[in-house]
Amino acid sequence: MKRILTTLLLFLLWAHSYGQKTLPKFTVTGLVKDAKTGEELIGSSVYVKETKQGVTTNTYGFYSLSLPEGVYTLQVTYLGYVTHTQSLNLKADLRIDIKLEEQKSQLNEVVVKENKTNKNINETKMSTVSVDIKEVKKIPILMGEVDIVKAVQLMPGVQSAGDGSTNMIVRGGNIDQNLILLDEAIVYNPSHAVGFFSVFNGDVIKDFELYKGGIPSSFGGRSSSVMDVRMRDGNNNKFGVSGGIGVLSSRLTVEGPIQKEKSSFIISGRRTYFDLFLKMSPDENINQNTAGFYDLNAKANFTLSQKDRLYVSGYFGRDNIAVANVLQNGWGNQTATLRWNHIYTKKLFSNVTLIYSRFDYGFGLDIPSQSFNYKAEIANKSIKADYTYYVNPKNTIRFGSWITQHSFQPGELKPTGDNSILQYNKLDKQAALEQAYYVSHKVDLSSRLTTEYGVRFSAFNNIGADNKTYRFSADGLDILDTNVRRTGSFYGFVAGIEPRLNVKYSVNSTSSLKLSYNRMRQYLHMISPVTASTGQDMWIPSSPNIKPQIADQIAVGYFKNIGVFEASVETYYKYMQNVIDLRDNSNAILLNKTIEREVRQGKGHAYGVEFLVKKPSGKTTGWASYTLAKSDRQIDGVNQGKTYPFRFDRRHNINLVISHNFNERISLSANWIFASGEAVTFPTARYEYEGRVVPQFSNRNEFRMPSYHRADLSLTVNRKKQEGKVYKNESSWVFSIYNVYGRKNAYSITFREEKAPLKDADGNIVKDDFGKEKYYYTGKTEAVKTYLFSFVPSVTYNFKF
Amino acid sequence: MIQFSCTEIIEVDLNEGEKRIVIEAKIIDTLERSDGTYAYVKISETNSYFNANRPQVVSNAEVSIYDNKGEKTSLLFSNGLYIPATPLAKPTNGSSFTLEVKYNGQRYVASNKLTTFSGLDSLSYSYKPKDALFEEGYYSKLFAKEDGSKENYYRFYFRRVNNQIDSLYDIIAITDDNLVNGGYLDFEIGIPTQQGDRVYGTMASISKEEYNYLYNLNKQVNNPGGPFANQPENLPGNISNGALGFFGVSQVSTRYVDIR
Repeated sequence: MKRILTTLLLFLLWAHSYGQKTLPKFTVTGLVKDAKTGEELIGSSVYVKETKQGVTTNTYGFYSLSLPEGVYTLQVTYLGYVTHTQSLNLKADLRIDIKLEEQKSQLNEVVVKENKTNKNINETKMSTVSVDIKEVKKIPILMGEVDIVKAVQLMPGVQSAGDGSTNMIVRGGNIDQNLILLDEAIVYNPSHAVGFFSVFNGDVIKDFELYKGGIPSSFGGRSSSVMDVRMRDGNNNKFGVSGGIGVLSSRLTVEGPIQKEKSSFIISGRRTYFDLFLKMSPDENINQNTAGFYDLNAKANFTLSQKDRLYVSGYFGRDNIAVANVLQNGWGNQTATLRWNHIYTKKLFSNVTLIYSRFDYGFGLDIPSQSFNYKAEIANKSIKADYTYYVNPKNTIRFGSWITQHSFQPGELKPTGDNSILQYNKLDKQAALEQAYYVSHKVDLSSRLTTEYGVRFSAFNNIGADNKTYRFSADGLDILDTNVRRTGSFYGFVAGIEPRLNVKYSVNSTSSLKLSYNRMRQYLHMISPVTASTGQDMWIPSSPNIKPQIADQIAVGYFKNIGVFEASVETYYKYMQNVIDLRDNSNAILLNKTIEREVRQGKGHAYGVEFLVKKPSGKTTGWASYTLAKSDRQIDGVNQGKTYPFRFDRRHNINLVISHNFNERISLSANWIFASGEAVTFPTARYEYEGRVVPQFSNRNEFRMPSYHRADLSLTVNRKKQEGKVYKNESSWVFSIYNVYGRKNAYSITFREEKAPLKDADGNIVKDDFGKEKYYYTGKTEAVKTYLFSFVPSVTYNFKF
Repeated sequence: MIQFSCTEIIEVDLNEGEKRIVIEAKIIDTLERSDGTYAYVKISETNSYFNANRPQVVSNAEVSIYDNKGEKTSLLFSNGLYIPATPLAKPTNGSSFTLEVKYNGQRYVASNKLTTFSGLDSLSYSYKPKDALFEEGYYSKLFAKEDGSKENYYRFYFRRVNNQIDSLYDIIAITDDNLVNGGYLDFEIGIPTQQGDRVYGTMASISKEEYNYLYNLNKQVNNPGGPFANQPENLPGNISNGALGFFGVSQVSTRYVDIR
């Protein structure tokens, strides 16, 4: 492994040695940090005034600049912080750590204008979404639960999979095509509470970025997007406790230095108390139910030397739903990350990471003769190495590797109790090895043209675990033969090249043109029998029967800054191969030994155009976006092989997000969202079979749900800490209303035969021998709309001391 | 989350589907009787979805069944059904049948095969107190030896006679033999009965195609809707030329027990 990397590095050094001039050069390196908390600032810009060259800090706040001997002025900027200017006389290699002060109050528009970095124009990457966590906290959100995923869903190109859902649809891709990383560990299911809340606790998130396209070669494994989320490191200056009490949950965070300014920790927990209210109910039908979730984030970092830092972080979360103490459903994610940052030389930054993550779900029934427990899980153990080589300000090379072992326990049913009539049943365990190696080179070809090109090579192997594999007939319905794979034996090797490219051309100082292309390969696939996030996600590996999913995406964008506004228009085209769906008239997937027989793979197309105008700073901030998009699928064996619209193919989407700070104490925020209805299948006729009314349906997804729209409001009232005053702590009240005008947005429309109580000749309701009211089907068919959240007010109290 | 969900009946504009013919056809062979091979065919038309009227019955079709020797039996219309004019011969395992319906200048054809089985062993009952899912009462259970040499699919029927009230259990109960292959199969009927009732239990051996059809019928007729909805899909019928419905061939075995 090490040898491969060294060889690769030498090759790259040779390949790019043309960039090196004979003039002696020195390197200035360092970290950019928040002055108050000591947390590193990701993506802050370090600009050299004299040479008009700039770099941005990496995800560990590290920067490196190589310059010829001379006198320079460094300007370090970060949104929401006071710009730091530093002059330096470069005669030898230097280390300069920079601390940025947070802006005390919102700046007036003139200062904002002068302070602009034009980062969005100058950086090579495109199709990315990030929202400052402080802004996220102001966005009015369902039940006041701060959620980065909900903020991302307000950006163009990202849709929610249903009202209130945290599942993301990115540029017409499937839910399972999003790579969701928390401190580099895969989060298999980002949902709590049937998908209405995400697993990301807003108090402990430092930064996140969603890549909708132009995905760098350092990421892979999912075909549509990457959501890279990083936890906070904790304040290394001062011990602190903060928290909040909301309608849905309470949060508590403890953080502080382990060694002042060198190492710190943070622990944050969150718990819902919906279940406690249920328990208080005198009604037996209610107090025996529980529903809720909790999660815990913890992180610590240690500065071992000026060149070495160690990070340990973990997440643990769980959902539980129980009905009448009889039916239980639960799921949870666990992740653990151990990272070692090392600065080899002033120019070579490295990061080696050990990762473990796991997702499990289960449900059970507890009634005398049919008690059982069902559980399933997926997990991975990974080792990842990432290197950044800052050749000179014009050339940066990144390379690395990722090796992971996947394990699957697709399902196990255990009868419980002595007299359960059910039999023990278990699907075979499975395992797989996935590996990837990548390299990329970012180069300024001229003062206007910058490109970052790269390639990722990924490979996948199934590993035997004494499991059975099957060979199916051409129509995929019959088993031709069965094989037992010995433990540790390899089979089903697939591999491929994934080219990546980003190009930026600066038209002038306030506008640029960007182009990107990426190919993504995906080796794990998720099948979910229902659309809600009940946690019953079945992940299956690629195998001799299931091909890897491949997506090619090309995107072009124009970025322009006009005064205090940042505007962009991007257009994309995505071609997906081997996308997965359940075949027509499929069998149940739970405990199905030949689940591969139930899925089919085919093609998908997605294309669209996204307009965005953003005002990132000042007293009034926010954005407006419009997306026009289309996405379809063509899969043999699904919809009889005919092309059909993707379920979440929404044609139009408008988002308006605005926030205004009246003064240091009071801010008001509002959203308005409009989205065309999703594609659905409706009945077009009815008939009778065995006396039952049977619907005859249209082609798949031929109809549209009604359009979705709603407005939300929130008011934040802060009580700031004031020196010398009686107030010792900071606190805030957040009042919010979700769906202000109470629109009954259709969550689903179902069709059914009308059911009515059976009445005798005198008009009395007929009861059976057991006293239960008898019903009969009237033969009349009706359409039923289900809607979830219309006018949901909430209040949250946050504190910090 | 249930607290936040509300429903209301709405008007939806659905495109009027083209009228199609629906054929419900069955050959049912009773294991315990040598003369007991029964058949019926019911032909009707589709209606637009919100039309609450009973479907139009087709009474003027020409209906015949062919056995695997090519022997033709005509079926005649009476009381809403087409019934064989002469009794069908007792079939054996693997006997195949072809249904032919001629109507309005169109011809609709379907074939299916009989899979025999060894029949029911017994029917028993036991008393159960009330629990979270079931009422108190006497619950019956069917027992049968499963044939390990074949891939089998079964359907269960349940009938209860109490003070002259004769009621048929309204649920389509089907199973494959994946879990019990070659073992002993028992099936508990989730309907409480009382002392004095007579309970009839019937087990039928059906084809894989019919199992799939009924499995999907259950999925669509009992579709829970909302986020837990099954994909709305049309049933995998086995009749040619665009006709809806199914032609099934099955063998049945019945036992009864008096609850005391």
